[in-house]
Amino acid sequence: MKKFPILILFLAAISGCTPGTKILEDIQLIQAVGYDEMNGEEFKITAGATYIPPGQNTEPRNLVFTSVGKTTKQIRQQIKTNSAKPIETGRVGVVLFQQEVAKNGIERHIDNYQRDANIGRDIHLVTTQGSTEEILRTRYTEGDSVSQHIIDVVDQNMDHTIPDSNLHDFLSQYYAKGYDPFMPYVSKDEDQLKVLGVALYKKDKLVDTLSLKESYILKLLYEPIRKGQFETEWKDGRYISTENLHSHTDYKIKKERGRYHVQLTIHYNGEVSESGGMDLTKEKNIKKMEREVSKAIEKKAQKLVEKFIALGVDPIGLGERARQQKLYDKNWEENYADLSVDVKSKVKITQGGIIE
Amino acid sequence: MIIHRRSKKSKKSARDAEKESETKNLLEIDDLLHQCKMSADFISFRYSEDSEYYIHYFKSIINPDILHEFILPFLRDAQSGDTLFMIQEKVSIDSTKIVKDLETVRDSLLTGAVLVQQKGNVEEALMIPAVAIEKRSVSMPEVEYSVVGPKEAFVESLDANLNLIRKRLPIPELIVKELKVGRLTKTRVAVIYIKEVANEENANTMYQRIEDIDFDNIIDSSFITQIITDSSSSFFPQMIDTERPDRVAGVLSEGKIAVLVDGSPHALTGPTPLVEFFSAFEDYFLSWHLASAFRLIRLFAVFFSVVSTPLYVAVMTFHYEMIPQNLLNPLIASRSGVPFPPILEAIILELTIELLREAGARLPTKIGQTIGIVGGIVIGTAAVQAGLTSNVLLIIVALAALASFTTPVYQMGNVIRLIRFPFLLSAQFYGLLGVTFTFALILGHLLKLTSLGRPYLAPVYPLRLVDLKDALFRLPMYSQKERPIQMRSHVPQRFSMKHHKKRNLDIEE
Amino acid sequence: MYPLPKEDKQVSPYFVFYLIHSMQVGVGILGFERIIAQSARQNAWIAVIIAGIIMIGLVFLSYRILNRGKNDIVAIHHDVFGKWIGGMFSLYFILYYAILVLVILRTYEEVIQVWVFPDVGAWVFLLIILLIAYYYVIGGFRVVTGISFLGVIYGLPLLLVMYFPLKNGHLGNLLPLFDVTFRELYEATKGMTLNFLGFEVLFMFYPFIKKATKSEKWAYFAVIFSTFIYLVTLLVTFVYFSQEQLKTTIWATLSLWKIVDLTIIERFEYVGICIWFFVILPNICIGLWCASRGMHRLFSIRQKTSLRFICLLVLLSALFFRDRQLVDTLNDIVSQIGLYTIYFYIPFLYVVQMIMKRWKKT
Repeated sequence: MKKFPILILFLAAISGCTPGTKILEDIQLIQAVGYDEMNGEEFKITAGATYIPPGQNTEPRNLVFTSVGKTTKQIRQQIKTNSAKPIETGRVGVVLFQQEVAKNGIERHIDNYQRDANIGRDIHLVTTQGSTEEILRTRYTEGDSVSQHIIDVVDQNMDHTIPDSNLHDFLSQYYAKGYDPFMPYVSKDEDQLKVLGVALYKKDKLVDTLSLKESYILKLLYEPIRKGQFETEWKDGRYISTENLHSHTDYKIKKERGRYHVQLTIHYNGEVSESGGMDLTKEKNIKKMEREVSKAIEKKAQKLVEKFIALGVDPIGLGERARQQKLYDKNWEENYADLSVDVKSKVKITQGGIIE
Repeated sequence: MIIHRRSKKSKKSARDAEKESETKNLLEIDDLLHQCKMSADFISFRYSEDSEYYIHYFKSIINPDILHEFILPFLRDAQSGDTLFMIQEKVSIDSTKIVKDLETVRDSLLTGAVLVQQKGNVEEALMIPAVAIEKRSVSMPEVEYSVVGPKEAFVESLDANLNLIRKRLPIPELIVKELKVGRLTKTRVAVIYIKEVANEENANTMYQRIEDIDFDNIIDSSFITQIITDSSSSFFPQMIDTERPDRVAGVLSEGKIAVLVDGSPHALTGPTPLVEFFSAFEDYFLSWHLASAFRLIRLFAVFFSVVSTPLYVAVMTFHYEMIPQNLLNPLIASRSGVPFPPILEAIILELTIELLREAGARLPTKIGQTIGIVGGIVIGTAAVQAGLTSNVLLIIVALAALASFTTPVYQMGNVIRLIRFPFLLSAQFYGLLGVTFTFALILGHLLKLTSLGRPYLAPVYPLRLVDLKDALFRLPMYSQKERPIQMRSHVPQRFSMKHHKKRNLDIEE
Repeated sequence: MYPLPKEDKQVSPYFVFYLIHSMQVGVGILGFERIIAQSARQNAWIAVIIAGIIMIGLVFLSYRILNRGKNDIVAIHHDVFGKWIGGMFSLYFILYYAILVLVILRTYEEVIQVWVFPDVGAWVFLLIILLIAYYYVIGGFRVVTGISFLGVIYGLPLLLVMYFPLKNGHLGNLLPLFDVTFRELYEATKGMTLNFLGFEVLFMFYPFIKKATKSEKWAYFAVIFSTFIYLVTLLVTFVYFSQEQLKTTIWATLSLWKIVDLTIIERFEYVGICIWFFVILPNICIGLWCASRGMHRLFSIRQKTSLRFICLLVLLSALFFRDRQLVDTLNDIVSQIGLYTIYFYIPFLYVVQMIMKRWKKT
């Protein structure tokens, strides 16, 4: 009998107020969102969802809602009116920005995703060449839904060719003083989705894009990696190709007479995957190969970092690294354009494979 | 039926009153016999017209062979004038007695004694035990079956059961205290423990509680469990009910107390903490690695069985964000044709499984199997194909049912069957948080529970690291050198470590 | 006047570890990073260690007071200050425990509302949680100790999921080391002390510990372990978030869980919030128990009555603190009170008690 009042109160609480249900099949899950520029003021949101017909072994169908407006809230409201089921955004896995939108700044769009406790932190942000609506409307041959297909393509590339990035990384770079964010850069080619490279941002505005090859150098500089291919021309028309086994980059920043100086050392351990006709049984040739690869890496990295400096962006976080060495101050931003860069690389190549 | 455990005090005074009335009725054995004669199976005769001795017995509970071979010949040969005492000397049967007390006369007469009365002596009666016991032979354990190990199970006879235990513990310290309980049934109940090894306090608590029982019929040991349990409002069993004599012998040597009830093929053992309900006695027959692994699997199974369907309901109803990407589409596909919300779907399926279980348990084994097939395969497949339930939930519910069968103690299995329904409801109301709240409530309940006054959640809380060696998992035999602290044994050491020391040998020594 | 509890109501000395530790790690840990990072930036971890050391000192003082008084704070107050002034101080402690409960309850409820069910009225969860806590406290101190023990155990797996943010983090965020001024450290330490509040419950449950003088080392272990937990959480958060980003993140520890990817479940934060309930529950239970026990001792009313009264009081005041600003104000006030209590009142009590003892002897 002692528990009786507790039970009564408990039941009262239960019957009084319970949260509204969101039963899985009764809601429309938005899995991808695209932003397109319309004219100066308005923009278009395309929400990609999947409709799964009942029964086993049914093919999911692609479902797209679009609407034009001035604010996200307003557009969302309109999209809700088009849908047969209530719209839920908790499963958004990828957000696409048309590059024209990105050029005008994406802060106000990102803010929605950052604020909403419903939304995950590992969702992908992607900049697109061409309309996002078209990308979301296309039925791709692989994958069971468009958003999943986009995620898979981007993920696969993040493993091998472009640096890792998701909403959390983007935000942390966006807020950090000595960092500028970047995103994967994709486009649609016929009925295929292609990663073109990396889109560079200055704060929340798109500044420039990098090609795939440049992206890989950015990846080398940005994070330690264990995957990917690096190709070098060592004679006319002859290429050596190495598989990255392990690489990382050391940064040293010095301040001399008010001028900042950055020294980068790229450590690259590779394995030969294509010898380009070089005789690898000879120790000498391997040394030569290492020299060639080293030279190529240094040249490309130097060029890339100088490009960043020229653009005034800092995707590899030179400022952040300066902060870590107590060198970041007010002058940094002003003197960024003056930064001198020196790239060194230490390449070690082993000969692998099952033939000599 | 109204159960009341009278307090000791009132009980005593009641007994005194009864005693008084007995002395008053001392001379009324004749009345008793008169009353007995109303039953058709009561026989009352004299050997011959001139014999001085009257013989009375219930023919349904005495052994006629004893009567014919050992009692009647002496009565025939008795000289007139022989006292009852002289007859008692002649009869070669043990425990005969000359009684004046009406209560004793009544009790022994009703439990299979032959009453011999001398003409003219209404005060005394000679009681010669000649009881015939109908009992089945010791058979295989059915509820707690084990693949390896002893294959004996208790039977309904108290003496046979005591025999099974004493055989395994041939020591004088094994104490059996017997008492009779039940106003109508007068059931013999035995409290068994090993002196010194078991804590006196536990034994006394158990004895006291059984003595205090005031109830009309004690048909089975489960009546006793329900009456003497620490908290009768709890749905968790607080004493183990086992049919294996080996298990009883095992727990007795740990310092626990066992109770045997005449007419019940089960022994009660206590104090029992929660974890013991998940340990099968077979665990001790296997190597400790296997036994530990199985215990952990069982614990996981219980957890899974209770929580899986509620989690399904919670996630489906409130937390779609939590479903992994790869599962999302299959789940939507399987759910989208179903006309009910997840909670209804889950309750329907759970009830179906309960129906199957209940039907299977009530029917003879062979038909029971058929029910399993019909229910499991036919109904399940048909329900999915008709679009009434989602196949994912069907899998979950079936697995949960399967998991609940791994509990080695039947009563605990029942608790697990039912405990998931509050979880289901709370999942429907507040999703994952509802499940958490319910769990918190049940945890609070478990923290408050005691078994014979000892904490129920031990050795986890209060934490007794030493006792953990035989709780959630089981460590090797030689590491079990202490009895559980929980039992507060007077002899905590089980054996000396002298022979168990590991020698550190070099490779080729 | 103030009898000691019976032996069968007491718990073993090592439970002091769980009681104090579970009281120190509560809702604070879900978002303390932002506050202390604002003042000491990436070196805020130094402040955690300093605060931990200060706590050890305060626990030392508390034990001196309690070992001398050999009873709970109500009895000690009575001995030292007499019936009326002592009673006032005891009442202050009772209110303090009740407010502690209020803050914890209200903060957790806010987490539920923001992260899980925004559309449910606040009173529902407040009521449910209070009822559950009531159910525990009714069971007595042993049950309260039990839940604090189990709460610590259940909370431990959450340390393991720190692996995921670490994997995605940048160790460089912690650099440069020791680049911090004294002033910044002072501010951060002050902020950090608030998270360590709660060990004062010791003053109430001290007589419930068997061989209480021997439990002292367990109290130190508890403080050290709490410091360790805070330190690990802080470091992982710093590695995962950039400093500027951290400033915009209200519940940093909760946000950490968003990145956990266990393949069988996404969005670990929902699971985390649920598991966290078992960390919150002991806090509320111990607080309620202390407050009701204090009232029972002070006013000689049944503890059940005082418990019901305090539950009602907490519920009503929790309903009063509806919006965010009020909760923050409440938090600030409690922090100030707590700060003065532990930094000034405890040493003060220590000194006065010593003087009184000497004076009585002579």
